[in-house]
Amino acid sequence: MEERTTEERTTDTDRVQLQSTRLAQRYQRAWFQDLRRRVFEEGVPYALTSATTPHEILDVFEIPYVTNEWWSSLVAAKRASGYYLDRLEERGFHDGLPHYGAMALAALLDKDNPNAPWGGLPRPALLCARLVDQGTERLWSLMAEACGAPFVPIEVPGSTVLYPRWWEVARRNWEDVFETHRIDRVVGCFRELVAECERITGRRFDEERLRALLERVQEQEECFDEVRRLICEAPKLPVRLPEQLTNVMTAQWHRGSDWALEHARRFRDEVWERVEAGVAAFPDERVRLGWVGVGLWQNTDFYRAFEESHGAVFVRSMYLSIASDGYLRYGLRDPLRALAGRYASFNETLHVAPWLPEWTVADCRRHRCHGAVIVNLGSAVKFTQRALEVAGIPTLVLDADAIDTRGWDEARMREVMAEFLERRLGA
Amino acid sequence: MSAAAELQRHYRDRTAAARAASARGRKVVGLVGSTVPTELVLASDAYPLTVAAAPGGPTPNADRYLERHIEDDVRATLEALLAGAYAWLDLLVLSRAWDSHLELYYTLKEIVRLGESECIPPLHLYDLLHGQTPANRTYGLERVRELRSRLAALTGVTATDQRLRAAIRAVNGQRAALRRLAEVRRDPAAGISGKEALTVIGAGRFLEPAVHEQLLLAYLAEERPRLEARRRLLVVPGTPLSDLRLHTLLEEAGAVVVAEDDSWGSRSVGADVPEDAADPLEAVFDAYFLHVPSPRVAPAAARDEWLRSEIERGGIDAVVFFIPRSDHWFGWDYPRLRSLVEAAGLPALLLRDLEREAVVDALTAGVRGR
Repeated sequence: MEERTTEERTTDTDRVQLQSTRLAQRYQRAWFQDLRRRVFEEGVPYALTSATTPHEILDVFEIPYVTNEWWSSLVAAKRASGYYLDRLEERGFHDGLPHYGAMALAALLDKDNPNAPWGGLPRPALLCARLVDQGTERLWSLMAEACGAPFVPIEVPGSTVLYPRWWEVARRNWEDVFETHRIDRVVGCFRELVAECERITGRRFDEERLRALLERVQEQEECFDEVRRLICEAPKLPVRLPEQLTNVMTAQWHRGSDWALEHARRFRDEVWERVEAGVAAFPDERVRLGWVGVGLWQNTDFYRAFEESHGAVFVRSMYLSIASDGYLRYGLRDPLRALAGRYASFNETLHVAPWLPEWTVADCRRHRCHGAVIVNLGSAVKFTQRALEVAGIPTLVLDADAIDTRGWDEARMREVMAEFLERRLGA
Repeated sequence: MSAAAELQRHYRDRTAAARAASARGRKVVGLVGSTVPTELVLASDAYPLTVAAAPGGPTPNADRYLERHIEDDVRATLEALLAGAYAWLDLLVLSRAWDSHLELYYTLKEIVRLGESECIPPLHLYDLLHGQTPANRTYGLERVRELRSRLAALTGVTATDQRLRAAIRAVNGQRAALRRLAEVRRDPAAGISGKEALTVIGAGRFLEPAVHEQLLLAYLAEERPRLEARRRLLVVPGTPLSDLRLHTLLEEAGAVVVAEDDSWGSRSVGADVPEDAADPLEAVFDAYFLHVPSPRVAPAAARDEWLRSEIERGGIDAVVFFIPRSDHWFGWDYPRLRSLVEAAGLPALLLRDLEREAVVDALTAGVRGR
């Protein structure tokens, strides 16, 4: 652990409590500025990708990448999403289209904006996304057209077998759980990505390098698995949800790198120290909540808004839990296949019943959640709400947009949450 | 009964002919989506029935399971399935040409797992991937062979090359009649409204192809009064036109729909399957893989090409885009398609709601815009 300054030790009740969080924030900002410099000044090709694509392949070729979801969360956190969504509407794209993935398209089309967050998105040399729905191909093709770069889609066949408790077996028996014919097709797509990377860099694919990288990724995710255990077992929440998100996701966007592995260890150690020292993020914690669905990036302060008033803390989100349950895939004899074993069902585990509801119930129980809040986006929300209620976990479905600040009514949302906490959880 | 009345009856009572076949001991296979090859079902000695309940009614049972982005037609279909309207089917094949159909498949599987309905027939996912790449074609061919095996296990009859060729001839015959209808309906003297065209085309989803072909030919031979002069519309919908609501509203507002970019309408014709193909199963697969419109399989360029060619044929006064409020994909295509229409010098009208007032407003705006 790095030594903290006196000033930092005395600010534990402040917005940022962990030294790891500050380091992650600083690292990400510096990384993006460095990326922009390399792209603009040195002409280094970079890739724009979706979150559930095999970034490890790009790492093997040393092609830097920006994740679309990260860019969207950054735009939302800077409260610039409304501006970008207005620009898309001016071009005829209606307001009901998914916002989460659209920020990059808006940024690429709005290339002359001098006030873009962090200087705006540079033009990528390659785009890669998993086709999670029928709009994804259209959206990414528009982005490819806007920047004149090739688009490599990752196709994933539909699941025909859905083991309810997938997370108990998927770490090692991923071939059985996620179906051989599906993994075969995903491997085929990965090979197409490899071929495109070889074309861009002029280098041959190094399988050994991928295996070594995946071993580091496994170690990183094992750190996060340990962090989850610590959070679940600690008497009180040691690290607030916004700080969980910052630390986990910053490392995930760079997973397998020296910095990411070092950061995952640092974060794990700092959480462990806090637990050992009996430090609680909010000492008067009385109600533990699980957050289900996409992070509320446009307003992460919402996660701590009910501490003083109701003693309520958000302890759980999918981001930390999927780091271990979704990413850990042992058996690296064929590293490309193991990677496909991870990505073949990423979307399904987070959006399809019974995978999402069963996992969410088990994970909320493990976190000792008294209640859960589902952000009303995506699929299987009704199945998940019902499963949580049946499991004795009162659940609120919050009708909110994770990205778009324009429709957010803070007073109304606080009222809805307060009513839920008081009526359903007795807070 | 006239052929028109007979076709309308089957459009309304969508399972009548299939239920009669089932009562005679024939296996009936339900199909969700337009990309499951009818020829393969016929060649397996089963009756192909499109499972698509007409939307517009209340769906309280389906609403318990489906999220709000799911289209009305899929919601109505789940409601009908839960009500037992299709419990007698021997197999239900869901294609993945639309996301909603895959979600319906997952939802039905979960309902079965939870033991919440005894009315769901055995399920089969006919999984087609996004785009017409060689790798996706190879994957799709594996799925069509898998489906052939499943159907053979169900009926005891394997779709041999010989049986497939007979089925190909039957469906090509139906396509020829549909092609004739598509041509004739553009002539006001034929007296065919868009609503009636959609009805007689749609009836084919519920009839055997040879029966549909005969009824269509008889229908085209029947006398109808000439349609009075009206604004002639081409409709580009963001959701399948499995019911008549949109056409009814547009035509009650004084227009006539002469073509629609949808497999329930003008694009039901598709491409003929070569009757002398060396591998008829591959030929059948390719006809659907390459030529049936859908958001997942067909590329956006194919839609552009069809729209451009329809406009070039002439006889169209405006193009109506229908984007339902639940839309989460068609909106990415809309600005490009709108530009294509405007470049051709035609008004592009946008409808978001199936309401009389909205339709009148859109048509009026189109008149002003000319």
